[in-house]
Amino acid sequence: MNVVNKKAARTVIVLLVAGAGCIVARLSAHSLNTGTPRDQTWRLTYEIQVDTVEAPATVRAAFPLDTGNVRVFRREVQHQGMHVERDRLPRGKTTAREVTMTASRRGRYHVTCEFDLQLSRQEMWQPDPPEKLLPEAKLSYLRSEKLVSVQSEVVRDTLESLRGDRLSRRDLLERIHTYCADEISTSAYGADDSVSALTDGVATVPGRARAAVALCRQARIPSRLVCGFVIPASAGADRRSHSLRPHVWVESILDGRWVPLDPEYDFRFKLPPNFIPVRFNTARIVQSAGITDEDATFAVRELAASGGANSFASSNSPFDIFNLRRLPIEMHEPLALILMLPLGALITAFCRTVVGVPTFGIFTPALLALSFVYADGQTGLVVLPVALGLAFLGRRKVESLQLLLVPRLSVVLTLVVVLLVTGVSVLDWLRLTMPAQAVLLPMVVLTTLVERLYVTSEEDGPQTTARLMMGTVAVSCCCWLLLRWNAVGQILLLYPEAHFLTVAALIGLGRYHGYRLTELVRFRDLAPLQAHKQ
Amino acid sequence: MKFFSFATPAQLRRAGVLGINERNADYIQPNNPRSRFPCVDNKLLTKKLCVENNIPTPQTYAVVDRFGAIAGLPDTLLSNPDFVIKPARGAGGRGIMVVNGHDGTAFRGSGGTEYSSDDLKYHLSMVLSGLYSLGGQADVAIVEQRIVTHPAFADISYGGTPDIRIIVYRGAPVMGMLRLPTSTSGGRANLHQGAVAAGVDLKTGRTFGGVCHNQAVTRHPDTHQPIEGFRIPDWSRTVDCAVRLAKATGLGYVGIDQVIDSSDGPMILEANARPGLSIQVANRSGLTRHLRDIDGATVPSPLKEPKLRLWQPTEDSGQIAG
Repeated sequence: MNVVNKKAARTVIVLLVAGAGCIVARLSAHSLNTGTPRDQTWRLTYEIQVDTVEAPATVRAAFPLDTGNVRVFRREVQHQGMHVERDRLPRGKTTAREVTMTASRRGRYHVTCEFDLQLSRQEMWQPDPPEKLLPEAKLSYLRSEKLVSVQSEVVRDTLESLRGDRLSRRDLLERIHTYCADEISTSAYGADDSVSALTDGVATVPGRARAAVALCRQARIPSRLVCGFVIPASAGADRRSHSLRPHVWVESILDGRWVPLDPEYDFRFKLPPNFIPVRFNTARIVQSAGITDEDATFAVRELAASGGANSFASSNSPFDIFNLRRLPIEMHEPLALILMLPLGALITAFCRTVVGVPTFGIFTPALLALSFVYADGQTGLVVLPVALGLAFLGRRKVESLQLLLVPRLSVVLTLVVVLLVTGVSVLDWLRLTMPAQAVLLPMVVLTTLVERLYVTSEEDGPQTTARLMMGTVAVSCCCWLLLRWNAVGQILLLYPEAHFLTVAALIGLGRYHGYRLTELVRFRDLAPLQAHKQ
Repeated sequence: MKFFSFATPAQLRRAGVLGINERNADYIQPNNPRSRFPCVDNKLLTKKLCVENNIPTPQTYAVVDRFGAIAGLPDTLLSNPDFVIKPARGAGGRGIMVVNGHDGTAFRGSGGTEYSSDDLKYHLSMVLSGLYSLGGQADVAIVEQRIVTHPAFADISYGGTPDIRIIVYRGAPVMGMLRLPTSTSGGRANLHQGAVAAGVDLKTGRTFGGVCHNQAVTRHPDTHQPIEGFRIPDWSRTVDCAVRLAKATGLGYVGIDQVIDSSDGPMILEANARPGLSIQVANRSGLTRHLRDIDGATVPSPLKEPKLRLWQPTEDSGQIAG
């Protein structure tokens, strides 16, 4: 073994030991933390069954939100025959994250959403302060709605009876809360709207909350409904599943921050840790359109401590730096994708170094595969070849204009962008797939690919171009098969130090001096004749 | 079926076949210092080395290194009957425009293609933009003397200029091949595109058979003349130039490409720090054994006097200089 090989072998061993050591250390640290009595791991499940009457019918299910005591560390949506649109990004704190599923045909559909939550039962919490509220947004928290009538007489009279001299806003809020908690009783058969709740003194839970919202808004205190869940205090020894009903409470802006009021369980200004907000301004977790029958049931089950859960109590441990699942769930998907990129590079390196597959560019296959995983494989498979083909034809046309390189590449980029967006729109119009994902395909990579494709076809002929294209597609497919495996991303989020092993594998590949598989065919005629016959 | 047949790694090892991984790791990395790569990746620097070492290379008519210089160039070039435009950092023969003549306004390319002044300007701007350069970096265009193929090649070449590649390892020539353009290759000596490669006996400069698209051929596919037994003119000078340039580049493992001009003899086209391995197929012989022979010949440094084992000057080939 020569000196460089010895050095490489030593480095590989160090990396393997470091990777395995870090993972084992983290695992043992985690097993020590699982006994933390104040932290629990729960699985919240939505079972949604819908009968669609018209196409397209949509079902929108909101996700639980993180609070100071609750952290969602896993989320999974299962469905059959529906197209899933990526969850919406929150706009400020007013819009919940949700998944939108569309059914393009009539029929019965079943959707299951699962969320693994970590719950710390440490202290009462308050919602985050609102981002700077625009006047329109503020007005929306003061106006009348269908079931929240702010200007009705009973609301005005009730508020008048609660007002006193020099009463601060906080005291007024407290009085409104006390009034709704004491004077309105709840019943499943009670009223759903604020006026009836105040008039009859009997309302449903959302009805009572709406009465509180109406009184607050009449007092010019911006308020909103919050729909969420209350996790049970304990699951008991058998950790069996509990069915849950969505709970509704109120949030009002006081001194520049949202403060919660729950007339049902009589909590004011702070909520217990087991309150999980899901959606605002509505009492429904699941919303739908084009549906005849919707049945949504919710259940929660306490889990044994999970690897993804990172104890709130132990979050100061240096080991936790490596547990990326402790970060907000919005960051999980992009981080998982970034972490999977080295695996794509590993596969590409293997295909090129050991198999001998030629590709356009070194990382183009991995980036294409990654974008297919992030966007949507189906959409990408339809849109990409069409966009690539048309952009290639466009590039041929552009050649006759004799443009300089940078403006020409920009023209190709524009072509790619327009073609992708049009392709997505056409697919949506044909109701073949859901829009928005395919535009996330890497446009710059595609632009370079189109340019390389054209130059290679002109310079080296169609045979070489086809060989390179087939190589690129084959390596992309290999990358895609691994990268689309959700569990891989989740494992890497939990144990990013696994990439020590990736680097070790890459060093191993880098020191591979043997023949590429394609060379066994390319140089077959050079093999000694008698040996060839064996 | 031949398409599905393959050799085992052990068979290839026995045959001394050099694979790409082994070439990169065992020959290029240890013998070719990174700092010397520009000498061969940039044809201007290669030309400079040739001039400094008195190695023949096509005469340079103009160097275009900025867009401002493009406008007046076609008119200036009218003073030359023929010329070639090539990118300084081009690879694989990309971006080379051959002009055989002109009628005072329009230029005539190989195969009778007509180029206007605007076509020339566009091509020059493409070269400067880096379209043909390694890594797509901004480039420089070289306008140089057009090589007139030696008449000896007339029967075994079609539509372009045949070139000769010699691999030089640690100062010693290891293997050579003659690349013959065909109609399939569009007149280019590019093996991927269908040019014919013929192995060359380093001692005599005689070819021994050829391959096209990895298939053994005995005759040129267009001219139908035998490829085997062709003697390359000025062979000793050709090898001499290759060895001297390899030494000047400071690269231990390098491929030197030359053409034989009808009046000026061998001329350096370019050097390649990562020469391909098709030369083994053309010679129907692996490189490893020859490279190991040289390694065993106690050559202290690639820049010092090579100990030639594979090629010795013959009576008519002259003495290798340097």
